[in-house]
Amino acid sequence: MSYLPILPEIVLTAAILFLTLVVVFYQGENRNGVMMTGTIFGLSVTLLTLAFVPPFAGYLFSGMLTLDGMAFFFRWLFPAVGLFVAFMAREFLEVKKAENPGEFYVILLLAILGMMLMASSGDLITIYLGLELTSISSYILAGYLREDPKSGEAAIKYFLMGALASGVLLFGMSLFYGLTGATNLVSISGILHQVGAPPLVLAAMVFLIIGLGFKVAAVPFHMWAPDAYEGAPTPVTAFFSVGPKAAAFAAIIRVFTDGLSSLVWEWSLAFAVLALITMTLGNLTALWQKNVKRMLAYSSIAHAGYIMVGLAAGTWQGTVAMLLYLLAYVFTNLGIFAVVTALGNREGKDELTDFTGLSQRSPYLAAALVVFFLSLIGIPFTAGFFGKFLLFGAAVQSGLVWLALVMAVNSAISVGYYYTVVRNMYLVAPKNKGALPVAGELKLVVTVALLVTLILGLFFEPVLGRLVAFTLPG
Amino acid sequence: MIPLFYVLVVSTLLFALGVYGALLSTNAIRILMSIEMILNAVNLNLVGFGRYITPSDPRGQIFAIFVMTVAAAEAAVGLAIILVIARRYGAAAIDRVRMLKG
Repeated sequence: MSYLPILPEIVLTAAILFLTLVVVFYQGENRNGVMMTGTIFGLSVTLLTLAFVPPFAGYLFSGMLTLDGMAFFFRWLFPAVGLFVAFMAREFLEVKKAENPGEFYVILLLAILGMMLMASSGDLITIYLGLELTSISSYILAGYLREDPKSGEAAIKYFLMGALASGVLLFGMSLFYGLTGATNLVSISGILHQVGAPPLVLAAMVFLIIGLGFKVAAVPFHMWAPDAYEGAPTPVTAFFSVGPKAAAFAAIIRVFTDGLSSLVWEWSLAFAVLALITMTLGNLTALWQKNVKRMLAYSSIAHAGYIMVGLAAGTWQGTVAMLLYLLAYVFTNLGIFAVVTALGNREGKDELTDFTGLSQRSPYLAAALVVFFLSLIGIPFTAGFFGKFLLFGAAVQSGLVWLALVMAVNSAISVGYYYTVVRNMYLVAPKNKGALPVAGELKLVVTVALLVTLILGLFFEPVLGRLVAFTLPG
Repeated sequence: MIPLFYVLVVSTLLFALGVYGALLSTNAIRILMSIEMILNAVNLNLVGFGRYITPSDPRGQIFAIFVMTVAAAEAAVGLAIILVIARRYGAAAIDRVRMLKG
Protein backbone atom coordinates (compact mmCIF):
# COMPACT_ATOMS: atom_id res chain seq x y z
CA MET A 1 0.00 0.00 0.00
CA SER A 2 1.27 3.40 -0.90
CA TYR A 3 0.86 6.57 1.06
CA LEU A 4 1.74 8.75 -1.92
CA PRO A 5 -1.86 9.61 -2.99
CA ILE A 6 -2.63 11.19 0.38
CA LEU A 7 0.62 13.14 0.53
CA PRO A 8 -1.31 16.48 0.53
CA GLU A 9 -3.12 15.47 3.72
CA ILE A 10 0.15 14.31 5.26
CA VAL A 11 1.77 17.64 4.40
CA LEU A 12 -1.16 19.52 5.94
CA THR A 13 -0.96 17.40 9.11
CA ALA A 14 2.76 18.10 9.37
CA ALA A 15 2.05 21.82 8.96
CA ILE A 16 -0.56 21.65 11.75
CA LEU A 17 1.86 19.91 14.11
CA PHE A 18 4.65 22.36 13.30
CA LEU A 19 2.39 25.41 13.73
CA THR A 20 1.19 24.05 17.08
CA LEU A 21 4.81 24.07 18.22
CA VAL A 22 5.21 27.62 16.88
CA VAL A 23 2.17 28.76 18.88
CA VAL A 24 3.64 27.29 22.05
CA PHE A 25 7.28 28.28 21.71
CA TYR A 26 7.39 31.45 19.62
CA GLN A 27 7.14 34.39 22.02
CA GLY A 28 8.56 37.13 19.78
CA GLU A 29 7.03 40.08 17.96
CA ASN A 30 3.94 39.98 15.71
CA ARG A 31 2.79 36.47 16.51
CA ASN A 32 -0.43 36.95 14.60
CA GLY A 33 1.38 37.88 11.37
CA VAL A 34 3.92 35.07 11.76
CA MET A 35 1.16 32.52 12.24
CA MET A 36 -0.78 33.83 9.25
CA THR A 37 2.32 33.53 7.09
CA GLY A 38 2.92 30.01 8.37
CA THR A 39 -0.68 29.02 7.65
CA ILE A 40 -0.57 30.48 4.14
CA PHE A 41 2.69 28.66 3.53
CA GLY A 42 1.34 25.35 4.83
CA LEU A 43 -1.79 25.55 2.71
CA SER A 44 0.17 26.60 -0.38
CA VAL A 45 2.51 23.64 0.01
CA THR A 46 -0.55 21.39 0.41
CA LEU A 47 -2.00 22.70 -2.84
CA LEU A 48 1.36 22.36 -4.62
CA THR A 49 1.67 18.77 -3.42
CA LEU A 50 -1.81 18.10 -4.68
CA ALA A 51 -0.78 19.44 -8.08
CA PHE A 52 2.37 17.33 -8.31
CA VAL A 53 1.28 14.05 -6.77
CA PRO A 54 0.74 11.57 -9.61
CA PRO A 55 -3.00 11.21 -10.26
CA PHE A 56 -4.57 8.27 -8.52
CA ALA A 57 -8.12 7.03 -8.74
CA GLY A 58 -9.46 4.21 -6.62
CA TYR A 59 -9.79 3.01 -3.05
CA LEU A 60 -7.18 3.29 -0.33
CA PHE A 61 -6.71 1.61 3.07
CA SER A 62 -9.18 -1.23 2.36
CA GLY A 63 -11.88 1.12 1.13
CA MET A 64 -11.60 3.70 3.92
CA LEU A 65 -10.80 6.44 1.40
CA THR A 66 -12.21 6.90 -2.09
CA LEU A 67 -10.04 9.06 -4.30
CA ASP A 68 -12.07 9.97 -7.35
CA GLY A 69 -12.85 13.11 -9.30
CA MET A 70 -15.13 14.51 -6.64
CA ALA A 71 -12.55 13.94 -3.91
CA PHE A 72 -9.98 15.69 -6.10
CA PHE A 73 -12.32 18.65 -6.61
CA PHE A 74 -12.96 19.13 -2.91
CA ARG A 75 -9.33 18.56 -1.94
CA TRP A 76 -8.53 21.57 -4.14
CA LEU A 77 -11.41 23.64 -2.91
CA PHE A 78 -10.94 23.34 0.85
CA PRO A 79 -7.30 24.47 1.17
CA ALA A 80 -8.22 27.38 -1.13
CA VAL A 81 -11.03 28.29 1.30
CA GLY A 82 -8.48 28.09 4.11
CA LEU A 83 -6.19 30.55 2.29
CA PHE A 84 -9.03 33.06 1.96
CA VAL A 85 -10.09 32.75 5.60
CA ALA A 86 -6.52 33.04 6.92
CA PHE A 87 -6.08 36.27 4.96
CA MET A 88 -9.35 37.60 6.34
CA ALA A 89 -8.55 36.67 9.93
CA ARG A 90 -5.35 38.58 10.66
CA GLU A 91 -6.65 42.11 10.85
CA PHE A 92 -9.88 40.97 12.49
CA LEU A 93 -8.05 39.20 15.32
CA GLU A 94 -5.89 42.28 15.80
CA VAL A 95 -8.85 44.68 15.92
CA LYS A 96 -10.79 42.48 18.35
CA LYS A 97 -7.69 41.99 20.51
CA ALA A 98 -8.14 38.21 20.59
CA GLU A 99 -6.00 36.35 23.12
CA ASN A 100 -3.61 33.87 21.54
CA PRO A 101 -4.40 34.74 17.91
CA GLY A 102 -2.05 31.97 16.78
CA GLU A 103 -4.29 29.14 17.93
CA PHE A 104 -7.01 30.36 15.59
CA TYR A 105 -5.00 29.34 12.54
CA VAL A 106 -4.13 25.90 13.88
CA ILE A 107 -7.79 25.12 14.60
CA LEU A 108 -8.76 26.45 11.17
CA LEU A 109 -6.26 24.07 9.56
CA LEU A 110 -7.62 21.16 11.59
CA ALA A 111 -11.12 21.91 10.33
CA ILE A 112 -9.81 21.97 6.76
CA LEU A 113 -8.08 18.63 7.24
CA GLY A 114 -11.36 17.19 8.49
CA MET A 115 -13.19 18.57 5.47
CA MET A 116 -10.68 17.04 3.06
CA LEU A 117 -11.07 13.71 4.84
CA MET A 118 -14.86 13.92 4.65
CA ALA A 119 -14.84 14.58 0.92
CA SER A 120 -12.60 11.62 0.15
CA SER A 121 -14.06 9.10 2.58
CA GLY A 122 -15.38 5.77 1.40
CA ASP A 123 -16.58 4.37 4.69
CA LEU A 124 -19.05 5.43 7.38
CA ILE A 125 -16.21 5.50 9.92
CA THR A 126 -14.10 7.96 7.94
CA ILE A 127 -17.11 10.12 7.18
CA TYR A 128 -17.87 10.30 10.90
CA LEU A 129 -14.27 11.06 11.84
CA GLY A 130 -13.93 13.79 9.20
CA LEU A 131 -17.26 15.28 10.19
CA GLU A 132 -16.35 15.42 13.85
CA LEU A 133 -12.88 16.82 13.22
CA THR A 134 -14.53 19.61 11.24
CA SER A 135 -17.38 20.14 13.70
CA ILE A 136 -15.34 20.18 16.91
CA SER A 137 -12.89 22.63 15.38
CA SER A 138 -15.83 24.75 14.23
CA TYR A 139 -17.30 24.91 17.75
CA ILE A 140 -14.00 26.28 19.03
CA LEU A 141 -13.77 28.80 16.19
CA ALA A 142 -17.34 30.01 16.81
CA GLY A 143 -16.49 30.83 20.43
CA TYR A 144 -13.05 32.16 19.68
CA LEU A 145 -13.63 35.67 21.07
CA ARG A 146 -14.01 34.71 24.71
CA GLU A 147 -14.66 38.27 25.87
CA ASP A 148 -17.57 38.68 23.45
CA PRO A 149 -20.84 37.28 24.88
CA LYS A 150 -22.28 36.92 21.37
CA SER A 151 -19.40 34.67 20.38
CA GLY A 152 -19.96 32.45 23.42
CA GLU A 153 -23.64 32.21 22.67
CA ALA A 154 -22.93 31.30 19.05
CA ALA A 155 -20.54 28.59 20.24
CA ILE A 156 -22.92 26.99 22.71
CA LYS A 157 -25.85 26.95 20.33
CA TYR A 158 -23.72 25.57 17.52
CA PHE A 159 -22.18 23.01 19.84
CA LEU A 160 -25.39 21.67 21.36
CA MET A 161 -27.18 21.47 18.02
CA GLY A 162 -24.15 20.07 16.21
CA ALA A 163 -23.51 17.41 18.82
CA LEU A 164 -27.16 16.36 18.78
CA ALA A 165 -27.07 16.16 14.97
CA SER A 166 -23.92 14.04 15.09
CA GLY A 167 -25.64 11.70 17.54
CA VAL A 168 -28.69 11.29 15.30
CA LEU A 169 -26.50 10.79 12.23
CA LEU A 170 -24.46 8.22 14.08
CA PHE A 171 -27.55 6.33 15.15
CA GLY A 172 -28.55 6.09 11.50
CA MET A 173 -25.07 4.85 10.62
CA SER A 174 -25.22 2.19 13.32
CA LEU A 175 -28.56 1.00 11.94
CA PHE A 176 -27.09 0.74 8.46
CA TYR A 177 -24.24 -1.29 9.88
CA GLY A 178 -26.72 -3.59 11.56
CA LEU A 179 -28.87 -3.94 8.45
CA THR A 180 -26.05 -4.61 6.00
CA GLY A 181 -23.22 -5.87 8.20
CA ALA A 182 -20.88 -3.43 6.46
CA THR A 183 -19.61 0.09 7.00
CA ASN A 184 -18.03 0.48 3.59
CA LEU A 185 -20.20 2.54 1.27
CA VAL A 186 -19.56 0.32 -1.76
CA SER A 187 -20.45 -2.85 0.19
CA ILE A 188 -23.53 -1.18 1.66
CA SER A 189 -24.63 -0.18 -1.83
CA GLY A 190 -24.17 -3.73 -3.11
CA ILE A 191 -26.18 -5.28 -0.25
CA LEU A 192 -28.95 -2.70 -0.46
CA HIS A 193 -29.35 -3.43 -4.16
CA GLN A 194 -30.24 -7.00 -3.19
CA VAL A 195 -32.58 -6.32 -0.27
CA GLY A 196 -34.59 -3.49 -1.82
CA ALA A 197 -36.20 -0.97 0.55
CA PRO A 198 -37.64 -2.55 3.71
CA PRO A 199 -39.12 -0.04 6.21
CA LEU A 200 -36.17 -0.23 8.60
CA VAL A 201 -33.77 0.81 5.83
CA LEU A 202 -35.96 3.82 5.13
CA ALA A 203 -36.06 4.68 8.86
CA ALA A 204 -32.27 4.53 9.03
CA MET A 205 -32.11 6.73 5.94
CA VAL A 206 -34.30 9.31 7.67
CA PHE A 207 -31.78 9.50 10.53
CA LEU A 208 -29.00 10.15 8.03
CA ILE A 209 -31.02 12.86 6.28
CA ILE A 210 -31.81 14.58 9.60
CA GLY A 211 -28.20 14.41 10.81
CA LEU A 212 -26.69 15.71 7.58
CA GLY A 213 -29.57 18.17 7.14
CA PHE A 214 -28.48 19.81 10.40
CA LYS A 215 -24.95 20.13 9.12
CA VAL A 216 -25.95 21.91 5.91
CA ALA A 217 -28.56 23.97 7.82
CA ALA A 218 -31.55 22.78 5.81
CA VAL A 219 -34.95 24.01 7.03
CA PRO A 220 -36.40 22.69 9.47
CA PHE A 221 -33.00 21.85 10.98
CA HIS A 222 -31.58 25.36 10.52
CA MET A 223 -32.39 27.11 13.80
CA TRP A 224 -28.78 27.09 15.00
CA ALA A 225 -27.42 28.71 11.85
CA PRO A 226 -28.54 32.36 12.13
CA ASP A 227 -27.39 32.60 15.76
CA ALA A 228 -24.11 30.85 15.14
CA TYR A 229 -23.44 32.97 12.04
CA GLU A 230 -24.29 36.25 13.73
CA GLY A 231 -22.36 35.62 16.92
CA ALA A 232 -19.24 34.01 15.49
CA PRO A 233 -16.23 36.15 14.52
CA THR A 234 -16.80 37.42 10.95
CA PRO A 235 -13.98 35.44 9.25
CA VAL A 236 -15.33 32.35 11.00
CA THR A 237 -18.83 33.11 9.71
CA ALA A 238 -17.31 33.31 6.23
CA PHE A 239 -15.73 29.93 6.84
CA PHE A 240 -18.94 28.35 8.20
CA SER A 241 -21.02 29.54 5.29
CA VAL A 242 -18.74 27.84 2.77
CA GLY A 243 -16.41 25.29 4.37
CA PRO A 244 -18.34 22.94 6.65
CA LYS A 245 -21.40 23.44 4.47
CA ALA A 246 -19.61 22.33 1.28
CA ALA A 247 -18.00 19.47 3.20
CA ALA A 248 -21.38 18.33 4.49
CA PHE A 249 -22.66 18.37 0.92
CA ALA A 250 -19.65 16.28 -0.08
CA ALA A 251 -20.56 13.82 2.67
CA ILE A 252 -24.18 13.80 1.49
CA ILE A 253 -23.11 13.03 -2.09
CA ARG A 254 -20.84 10.28 -0.79
CA VAL A 255 -23.44 8.65 1.46
CA PHE A 256 -26.43 8.95 -0.83
CA THR A 257 -25.07 8.57 -4.35
CA ASP A 258 -22.31 6.08 -3.44
CA GLY A 259 -23.86 4.19 -0.55
CA LEU A 260 -27.64 4.41 -0.95
CA SER A 261 -27.78 4.42 -4.75
CA SER A 262 -30.55 1.82 -4.77
CA LEU A 263 -32.85 4.11 -2.78
CA VAL A 264 -32.46 7.04 -5.16
CA TRP A 265 -36.21 7.45 -5.65
CA GLU A 266 -36.85 7.75 -1.91
CA TRP A 267 -34.07 10.14 -0.99
CA SER A 268 -34.42 12.34 -4.04
CA LEU A 269 -38.05 12.89 -3.06
CA ALA A 270 -37.02 13.77 0.50
CA PHE A 271 -34.41 16.23 -0.77
CA ALA A 272 -36.89 17.78 -3.19
CA VAL A 273 -39.21 18.60 -0.28
CA LEU A 274 -36.29 19.84 1.86
CA ALA A 275 -35.00 21.98 -1.02
CA LEU A 276 -38.42 23.53 -1.53
CA ILE A 277 -38.92 24.61 2.09
CA THR A 278 -35.26 25.47 2.66
CA MET A 279 -34.96 27.96 -0.17
CA THR A 280 -38.38 29.49 0.34
CA LEU A 281 -38.07 29.98 4.09
CA GLY A 282 -34.44 31.10 3.86
CA ASN A 283 -35.21 33.78 1.30
CA LEU A 284 -38.39 35.03 2.95
CA THR A 285 -36.79 35.32 6.40
CA ALA A 286 -33.73 37.07 4.98
CA LEU A 287 -35.96 39.93 3.86
CA TRP A 288 -36.61 41.03 7.46
CA GLN A 289 -33.07 41.01 8.84
CA LYS A 290 -31.25 44.09 10.18
CA ASN A 291 -27.85 42.51 10.80
CA VAL A 292 -25.84 41.76 7.70
CA LYS A 293 -24.32 38.55 9.08
CA ARG A 294 -27.78 37.30 10.00
CA MET A 295 -29.08 38.21 6.57
CA LEU A 296 -26.21 36.36 4.93
CA ALA A 297 -26.93 33.39 7.21
CA TYR A 298 -30.46 33.16 5.82
CA SER A 299 -29.08 33.74 2.33
CA SER A 300 -26.71 30.81 2.82
CA ILE A 301 -29.62 28.68 4.07
CA ALA A 302 -31.45 29.55 0.85
CA HIS A 303 -28.40 28.60 -1.19
CA ALA A 304 -28.23 25.25 0.58
CA GLY A 305 -31.78 24.84 -0.69
CA TYR A 306 -30.72 25.57 -4.27
CA ILE A 307 -27.85 23.10 -4.01
CA MET A 308 -30.22 20.42 -2.75
CA VAL A 309 -32.10 20.70 -6.04
CA GLY A 310 -29.13 18.85 -7.52
CA LEU A 311 -29.73 16.03 -5.03
CA ALA A 312 -33.44 16.06 -5.76
CA ALA A 313 -32.59 15.47 -9.42
CA GLY A 314 -30.82 12.28 -8.32
CA THR A 315 -28.71 12.03 -11.47
CA TRP A 316 -25.04 12.56 -12.14
CA GLN A 317 -25.98 15.75 -13.99
CA GLY A 318 -27.41 16.89 -10.67
CA THR A 319 -24.15 16.08 -8.92
CA VAL A 320 -22.09 18.00 -11.50
CA ALA A 321 -24.44 20.96 -11.16
CA MET A 322 -24.06 20.83 -7.36
CA LEU A 323 -20.28 20.86 -7.60
CA LEU A 324 -20.23 23.77 -10.04
CA TYR A 325 -22.76 25.68 -7.94
CA LEU A 326 -20.68 25.06 -4.81
CA LEU A 327 -17.58 26.36 -6.60
CA ALA A 328 -19.36 29.56 -7.64
CA TYR A 329 -21.08 30.01 -4.28
CA VAL A 330 -17.92 29.43 -2.22
CA PHE A 331 -15.84 32.10 -3.91
CA THR A 332 -18.67 34.60 -4.21
CA ASN A 333 -19.60 34.24 -0.55
CA LEU A 334 -15.98 34.52 0.58
CA GLY A 335 -15.75 37.79 -1.36
CA ILE A 336 -18.89 39.12 0.31
CA PHE A 337 -17.61 38.25 3.74
CA ALA A 338 -14.26 39.87 3.00
CA VAL A 339 -16.14 43.13 2.37
CA VAL A 340 -18.21 42.61 5.54
CA THR A 341 -15.01 41.97 7.51
CA ALA A 342 -13.34 45.08 6.11
CA LEU A 343 -16.33 47.18 7.11
CA GLY A 344 -16.84 45.43 10.45
CA ASN A 345 -13.21 46.00 11.43
CA ARG A 346 -13.89 49.75 11.32
CA GLU A 347 -17.58 50.03 12.25
CA GLY A 348 -17.76 47.02 14.53
CA LYS A 349 -21.49 46.32 14.49
CA ASP A 350 -22.25 44.63 11.16
CA GLU A 351 -25.63 46.35 10.82
CA LEU A 352 -27.12 46.90 7.38
CA THR A 353 -26.98 50.66 8.05
CA ASP A 354 -23.18 50.42 8.24
CA PHE A 355 -23.22 50.03 4.47
CA THR A 356 -24.62 53.52 3.88
CA GLY A 357 -22.51 55.48 1.45
CA LEU A 358 -19.97 52.73 0.95
CA SER A 359 -19.83 53.68 -2.74
CA GLN A 360 -18.21 56.96 -1.69
CA ARG A 361 -16.10 55.61 1.13
CA SER A 362 -14.67 52.71 -0.84
CA PRO A 363 -15.91 52.57 -4.45
CA TYR A 364 -13.97 49.40 -5.20
CA LEU A 365 -15.47 47.35 -2.34
CA ALA A 366 -18.96 48.62 -3.14
CA ALA A 367 -18.65 47.70 -6.81
CA ALA A 368 -17.21 44.29 -5.95
CA LEU A 369 -20.07 43.65 -3.54
CA VAL A 370 -22.58 44.42 -6.30
CA VAL A 371 -20.91 41.85 -8.58
CA PHE A 372 -20.98 39.26 -5.79
CA PHE A 373 -24.66 39.87 -5.16
CA LEU A 374 -25.39 39.56 -8.88
CA SER A 375 -23.59 36.24 -8.82
CA LEU A 376 -25.63 35.01 -5.85
CA ILE A 377 -28.84 36.07 -7.60
CA GLY A 378 -27.68 34.29 -10.75
CA ILE A 379 -27.36 37.08 -13.31
CA PRO A 380 -25.64 36.03 -16.57
CA PHE A 381 -21.85 36.47 -16.95
CA THR A 382 -21.25 35.81 -13.27
CA ALA A 383 -20.30 32.48 -11.73
CA GLY A 384 -23.63 31.99 -10.01
CA PHE A 385 -25.56 32.06 -13.26
CA PHE A 386 -24.05 28.89 -14.66
CA GLY A 387 -24.43 27.10 -11.36
CA LYS A 388 -28.13 27.94 -11.30
CA PHE A 389 -28.48 27.21 -15.01
CA LEU A 390 -27.07 23.70 -14.57
CA LEU A 391 -29.16 23.00 -11.47
CA PHE A 392 -32.21 24.18 -13.38
CA GLY A 393 -31.33 21.90 -16.30
CA ALA A 394 -30.73 18.90 -14.04
CA ALA A 395 -34.07 19.44 -12.30
CA VAL A 396 -35.98 19.75 -15.58
CA GLN A 397 -34.26 16.68 -16.98
CA SER A 398 -35.45 14.65 -13.98
CA GLY A 399 -39.00 15.90 -14.48
CA LEU A 400 -38.92 18.32 -11.54
CA VAL A 401 -40.17 21.32 -13.49
CA TRP A 402 -42.10 22.59 -10.45
CA LEU A 403 -38.91 22.63 -8.35
CA ALA A 404 -37.05 24.50 -11.08
CA LEU A 405 -39.81 27.09 -11.17
CA VAL A 406 -39.74 27.49 -7.37
CA MET A 407 -36.01 28.04 -7.68
CA ALA A 408 -36.51 30.78 -10.26
CA VAL A 409 -39.15 32.51 -8.11
CA ASN A 410 -36.84 32.30 -5.10
CA SER A 411 -33.98 33.89 -7.01
CA ALA A 412 -36.34 36.77 -7.75
CA ILE A 413 -37.27 37.09 -4.04
CA SER A 414 -33.61 37.16 -3.08
CA VAL A 415 -33.13 40.32 -5.14
CA GLY A 416 -35.14 42.09 -2.41
CA TYR A 417 -32.64 41.76 0.41
CA TYR A 418 -29.52 42.08 -1.68
CA TYR A 419 -30.99 45.30 -3.09
CA THR A 420 -31.35 46.73 0.45
CA VAL A 421 -27.59 46.61 0.82
CA VAL A 422 -26.97 48.00 -2.67
CA ARG A 423 -29.39 50.86 -2.05
CA ASN A 424 -27.69 51.65 1.26
CA MET A 425 -24.32 51.71 -0.49
CA TYR A 426 -25.28 53.87 -3.46
CA LEU A 427 -28.36 55.92 -2.63
CA VAL A 428 -28.19 56.67 1.10
CA ALA A 429 -25.89 59.35 2.48
CA PRO A 430 -23.08 57.92 4.62
CA LYS A 431 -23.34 57.88 8.41
CA ASN A 432 -19.59 58.10 8.81
CA LYS A 433 -17.81 60.17 6.20
CA GLY A 434 -14.26 59.67 5.00
CA ALA A 435 -12.55 56.91 3.07
CA LEU A 436 -12.71 53.43 4.58
CA PRO A 437 -9.21 52.16 5.38
CA VAL A 438 -8.94 48.58 4.10
CA ALA A 439 -6.10 46.20 4.93
CA GLY A 440 -4.05 45.05 1.93
CA GLU A 441 -4.79 41.35 2.36
CA LEU A 442 -8.54 41.99 2.47
CA LYS A 443 -8.27 43.87 -0.83
CA LEU A 444 -6.35 40.90 -2.22
CA VAL A 445 -9.07 38.48 -1.08
CA VAL A 446 -11.81 40.63 -2.63
CA THR A 447 -9.86 40.93 -5.89
CA VAL A 448 -9.21 37.21 -6.18
CA ALA A 449 -12.82 36.36 -5.35
CA LEU A 450 -13.97 38.92 -7.92
CA LEU A 451 -11.68 37.46 -10.58
CA VAL A 452 -12.86 33.92 -9.88
CA THR A 453 -16.50 35.02 -9.98
CA LEU A 454 -16.08 36.79 -13.31
CA ILE A 455 -13.76 34.24 -14.94
CA LEU A 456 -16.03 31.37 -13.95
CA GLY A 457 -18.93 33.36 -15.32
CA LEU A 458 -17.30 34.14 -18.65
CA PHE A 459 -15.34 30.95 -19.30
CA PHE A 460 -17.17 28.25 -17.46
CA GLU A 461 -16.97 25.66 -20.23
CA PRO A 462 -13.48 24.29 -19.51
CA VAL A 463 -14.33 24.04 -15.79
CA LEU A 464 -17.57 22.27 -16.59
CA GLY A 465 -15.74 19.95 -18.99
CA ARG A 466 -13.26 18.98 -16.27
CA LEU A 467 -16.05 18.40 -13.76
CA VAL A 468 -18.02 16.27 -16.21
CA ALA A 469 -14.93 14.23 -17.01
CA PHE A 470 -14.37 13.79 -13.27
CA THR A 471 -17.80 12.63 -12.32
CA LEU A 472 -18.95 10.79 -15.45
CA PRO A 473 -20.36 7.45 -14.35
CA GLY A 474 -18.52 4.29 -15.32
CA MET B 1 -26.93 -15.65 25.35
CA ILE B 2 -29.16 -12.57 25.39
CA PRO B 3 -30.93 -12.22 22.05
CA LEU B 4 -30.13 -9.22 19.85
CA PHE B 5 -33.70 -8.01 20.27
CA TYR B 6 -33.11 -7.03 23.92
CA VAL B 7 -29.95 -5.16 23.05
CA LEU B 8 -31.85 -3.18 20.44
CA VAL B 9 -34.72 -2.42 22.84
CA VAL B 10 -32.29 -0.98 25.39
CA SER B 11 -30.43 1.05 22.78
CA THR B 12 -33.63 2.41 21.26
CA LEU B 13 -34.88 3.42 24.71
CA LEU B 14 -31.56 5.10 25.47
CA PHE B 15 -31.72 6.95 22.16
CA ALA B 16 -35.29 8.11 22.73
CA LEU B 17 -34.46 9.29 26.27
CA GLY B 18 -31.40 11.10 24.98
CA VAL B 19 -33.32 12.94 22.26
CA TYR B 20 -36.07 13.79 24.73
CA GLY B 21 -33.58 15.17 27.22
CA ALA B 22 -31.59 17.07 24.63
CA LEU B 23 -34.63 18.78 23.19
CA LEU B 24 -36.46 19.62 26.44
CA SER B 25 -33.76 20.46 28.98
CA THR B 26 -32.82 24.04 29.71
CA ASN B 27 -29.56 23.20 31.44
CA ALA B 28 -26.54 22.92 29.16
CA ILE B 29 -24.88 20.21 31.25
CA ARG B 30 -28.05 18.16 31.17
CA ILE B 31 -28.26 18.53 27.38
CA LEU B 32 -24.65 17.41 27.11
CA MET B 33 -25.44 14.36 29.24
CA SER B 34 -28.43 13.55 27.04
CA ILE B 35 -26.23 13.73 23.95
CA GLU B 36 -23.77 11.38 25.61
CA MET B 37 -26.69 9.03 26.17
CA ILE B 38 -27.46 9.08 22.45
CA LEU B 39 -23.85 8.21 21.73
CA ASN B 40 -24.04 5.34 24.21
CA ALA B 41 -27.13 4.05 22.46
CA VAL B 42 -25.12 4.13 19.23
CA ASN B 43 -22.25 2.26 20.86
CA LEU B 44 -24.59 -0.38 22.19
CA ASN B 45 -26.02 -0.78 18.70
CA LEU B 46 -22.61 -1.04 17.11
CA VAL B 47 -21.26 -3.56 19.58
CA GLY B 48 -24.48 -5.59 19.56
CA PHE B 49 -24.63 -5.72 15.78
CA GLY B 50 -20.94 -6.52 15.66
CA ARG B 51 -21.43 -9.46 18.01
CA TYR B 52 -24.55 -10.92 16.38
CA ILE B 53 -24.47 -9.94 12.72
CA THR B 54 -20.77 -10.02 11.90
CA PRO B 55 -19.14 -12.13 14.65
CA SER B 56 -15.93 -12.62 12.69
CA ASP B 57 -15.53 -8.95 11.76
CA PRO B 58 -14.50 -6.49 14.51
CA ARG B 59 -15.69 -3.48 12.48
CA GLY B 60 -18.52 -2.60 14.86
CA GLN B 61 -16.30 -2.69 17.93
CA ILE B 62 -13.70 -0.54 16.16
CA PHE B 63 -16.37 1.96 15.20
CA ALA B 64 -17.54 2.04 18.84
CA ILE B 65 -14.01 2.79 20.03
CA PHE B 66 -13.79 5.66 17.56
CA VAL B 67 -17.15 6.99 18.74
CA MET B 68 -16.04 6.90 22.37
CA THR B 69 -12.79 8.71 21.59
CA VAL B 70 -14.50 11.42 19.58
CA ALA B 71 -17.21 11.77 22.25
CA ALA B 72 -14.51 12.44 24.84
CA ALA B 73 -13.01 15.17 22.67
CA GLU B 74 -16.44 16.62 22.02
CA ALA B 75 -17.29 16.65 25.73
CA ALA B 76 -14.00 18.42 26.51
CA VAL B 77 -14.71 21.20 24.02
CA GLY B 78 -18.35 21.37 25.06
CA LEU B 79 -17.58 21.71 28.76
CA ALA B 80 -15.06 24.47 27.98
CA ILE B 81 -17.73 26.38 26.05
CA ILE B 82 -20.27 25.82 28.83
CA LEU B 83 -17.73 27.10 31.35
CA VAL B 84 -17.34 30.37 29.41
CA ILE B 85 -21.12 30.75 29.34
CA ALA B 86 -21.49 29.82 33.03
CA ARG B 87 -18.89 32.42 34.08
CA ARG B 88 -20.87 35.12 32.29
CA TYR B 89 -24.43 34.13 33.15
CA GLY B 90 -23.80 32.56 36.54
CA ALA B 91 -25.19 29.16 35.65
CA ALA B 92 -25.35 26.70 32.80
CA ALA B 93 -29.01 27.56 32.27
CA ILE B 94 -29.06 28.31 28.58
CA ASP B 95 -32.57 29.73 28.59
CA ARG B 96 -30.93 32.88 29.98
CA VAL B 97 -28.57 33.04 27.01
CA ARG B 98 -30.63 34.96 24.52
CA MET B 99 -28.78 37.99 23.25
CA LEU B 100 -29.26 36.76 19.70
CA LYS B 101 -32.85 36.46 18.63
CA GLY B 102 -34.05 33.05 17.66
